[in-house]
Amino acid sequence: MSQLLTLLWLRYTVFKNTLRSRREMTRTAFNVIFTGGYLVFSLLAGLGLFLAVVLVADFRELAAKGAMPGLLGLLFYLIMFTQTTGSSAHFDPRRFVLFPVRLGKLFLLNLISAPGELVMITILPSVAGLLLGLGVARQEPAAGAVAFLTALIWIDALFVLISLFTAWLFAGRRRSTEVIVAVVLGIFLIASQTLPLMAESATLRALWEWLSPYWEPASGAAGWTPLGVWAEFFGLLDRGETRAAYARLLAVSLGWAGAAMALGYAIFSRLATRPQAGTSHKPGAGGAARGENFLGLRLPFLSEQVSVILAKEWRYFTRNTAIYLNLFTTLLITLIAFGPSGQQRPDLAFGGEFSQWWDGFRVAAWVAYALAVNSQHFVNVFAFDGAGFRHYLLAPARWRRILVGKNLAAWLLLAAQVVMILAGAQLLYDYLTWGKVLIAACSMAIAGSVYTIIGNYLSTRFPYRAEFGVRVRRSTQQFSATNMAAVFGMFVGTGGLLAAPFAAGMLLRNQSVKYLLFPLLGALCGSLYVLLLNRQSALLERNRYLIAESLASRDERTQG
Amino acid sequence: MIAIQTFGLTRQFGGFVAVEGLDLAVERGSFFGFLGPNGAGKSTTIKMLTGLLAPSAGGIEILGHDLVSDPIQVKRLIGVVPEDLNLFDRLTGAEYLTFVGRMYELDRRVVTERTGELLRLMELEDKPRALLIEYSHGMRKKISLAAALIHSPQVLFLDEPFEGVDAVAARVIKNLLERLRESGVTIFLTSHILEIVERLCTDIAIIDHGRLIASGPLDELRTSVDTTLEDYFVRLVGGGRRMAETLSWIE
Repeated sequence: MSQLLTLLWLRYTVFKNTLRSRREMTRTAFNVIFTGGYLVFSLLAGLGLFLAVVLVADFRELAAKGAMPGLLGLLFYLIMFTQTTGSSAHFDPRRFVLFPVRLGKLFLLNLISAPGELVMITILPSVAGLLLGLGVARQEPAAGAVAFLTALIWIDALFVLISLFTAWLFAGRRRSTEVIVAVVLGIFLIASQTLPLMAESATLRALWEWLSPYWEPASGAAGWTPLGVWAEFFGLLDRGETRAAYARLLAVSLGWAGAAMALGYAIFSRLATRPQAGTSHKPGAGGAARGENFLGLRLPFLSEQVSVILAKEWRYFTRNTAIYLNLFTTLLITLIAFGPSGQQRPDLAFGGEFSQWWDGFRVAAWVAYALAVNSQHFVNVFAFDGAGFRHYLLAPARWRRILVGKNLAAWLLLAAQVVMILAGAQLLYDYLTWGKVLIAACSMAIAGSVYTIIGNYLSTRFPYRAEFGVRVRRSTQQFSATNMAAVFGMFVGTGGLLAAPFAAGMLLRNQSVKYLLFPLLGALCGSLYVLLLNRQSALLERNRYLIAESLASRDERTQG
Repeated sequence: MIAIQTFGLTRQFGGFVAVEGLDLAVERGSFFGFLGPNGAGKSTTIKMLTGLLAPSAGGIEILGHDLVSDPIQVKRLIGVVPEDLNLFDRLTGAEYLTFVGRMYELDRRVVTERTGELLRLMELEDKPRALLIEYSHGMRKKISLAAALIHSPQVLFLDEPFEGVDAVAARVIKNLLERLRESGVTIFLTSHILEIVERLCTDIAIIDHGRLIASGPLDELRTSVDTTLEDYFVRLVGGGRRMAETLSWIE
């Protein structure tokens, strides 16, 4: 027991020690506000669901039959999203291998602390609202409470299992495997988003009909899974089979939860002795030392130093699995949304006269989406440099050049994604016109400049270290709610900026206004970036030691 | 001519004074050993001398250039192997050296030639596709030294370069450092391995609790105290008392 208390004390002390500096306190305050806001929002959603289930009979029936699989699907999606962006906090077993502490205790602590994760904060109030609401509506609150408790245990176990599984997949793999993992994760990630968009397609309808004979036995089997057992539980209660209902609920949900925990623990144990997370390669067969490589290329119109920073950043992008994941999902989602089934949806294509004025808005929206997906490369530009940032301190390079190199690299990443989206839309659907290409280019200039300007400020004021395939630990290497809130603000703000030319064109009943305003706004935003560059470079120079310290690992920090 | 000069160099971390009023003068072409017990302020000093850490007070001149007012010129003249290596972990050895060389604006052909030569000399050419994150500690030290040398610096700062390096690699590095010094490069070295300091260095300084407590040419020191560097060092930093102590539970 004393070891458990010691571990709890450790978590508290580490958290307390992070509050020593004013910067960390600011960041923590933002985190608390952000998480608190999120919690309030989730609780309101849960309360809404609770009231809907209690007061609306049709909704109650829907919830009892089919809402749980949908919610769990959402949970799965959110978990995957969290794994790739990195915001979970767990005890890393590798740090404790030398201590005489059972891994089971660490695993138990991870299970206990999992409901505090952002993903769980999102999902649990809704699950509670549904299941407790069902219990109250049926005047059997105890049944609702038991159903919720079993759901909580199962979701908790599933969350920890998926977190560990993802960490294991990323740890110590070869680069080719990382890419495959990214693609597989991407397929899971987009499923919940793309299937509704594809629901009306002829192919999916045919597939649906072909599968129809198998639905009945499949739904029977679902009653023996955690996804379907709650519907089965309330069905059995309706038929008066109380004992069977409870027995089945407990056996199925706890059985699956136990299996998930056992598997999770097995992975946890393996992770304890894994090599350092990273890409491993087989050594080349002998091979003489070759000095030539991709980083030696000199790019036209750019200085030597900006060229090499750009080349180095590009090397890093190509070795970052999360980039492939983002690229893949963005491409697929946008292409499906550009497609005929997406265009038929009134919320996407708009109808009648309205669509005439908003023609091309979807291009601007997907530029904004691509930017939001890659926002971490704008708001924390030195994140992956780690101790390598000190090279910028040692090199005879002006900070302006370093910042320009970094910004250009992020822009290039964005441009690559946008070009792929547009090329795909054109090849598959013959979607593009010169006007839309202009809108895409200007949208990149507008939104890209806004992200870069605000991102440069955040990168120099609130930098934090990020590692390939290693999730950011909340207490030590801060995943900043400051940055997350800023990204959200930028997404909304740039959305407004990008919508403005369309709205102006519609209000003035003149299409030319749109095509005039876009380049004008693009030029304005681009100029603002250039005007602020010297000031932002000076800020970077002033904060260079702070950044170096923030990016250094715990062992590399300078004290004494 | 003086290669490295400091004037009242001071660094505080909150209320803790890591380095206090340090006045150093290192002759050009010398091999300067900077010694001190753990926590004495060696790494803090070397970080300040190389621009990795801002001093709280005092000044630094490298080959006559002020580090604060003329940092770009100073950076062109120095090479650094910090104790906490500053590597870009996701680059290969060749990519890393190319990156560093081009940051110093060397000609592309020169970078290519020197990269190949350095990789061969450091015996790092066998794993051309391995990323730096996969290198062993010794290999990381060697690639860091290679990066510090690629632009042919006139002053070389080495913070514990032999830590974790095997005997063969250590011999290669020692020979290389001796050749560099013969060619006129000033070398500023911190190391806990006093045999190496005794063999390589021409001058030494000893720092304790952030203050300079001894400095001078090593030969003069040897003749004046008539003892080994280790004995002299231990006596100077007050290690004699601690050596007599033991643990209460060990009989």
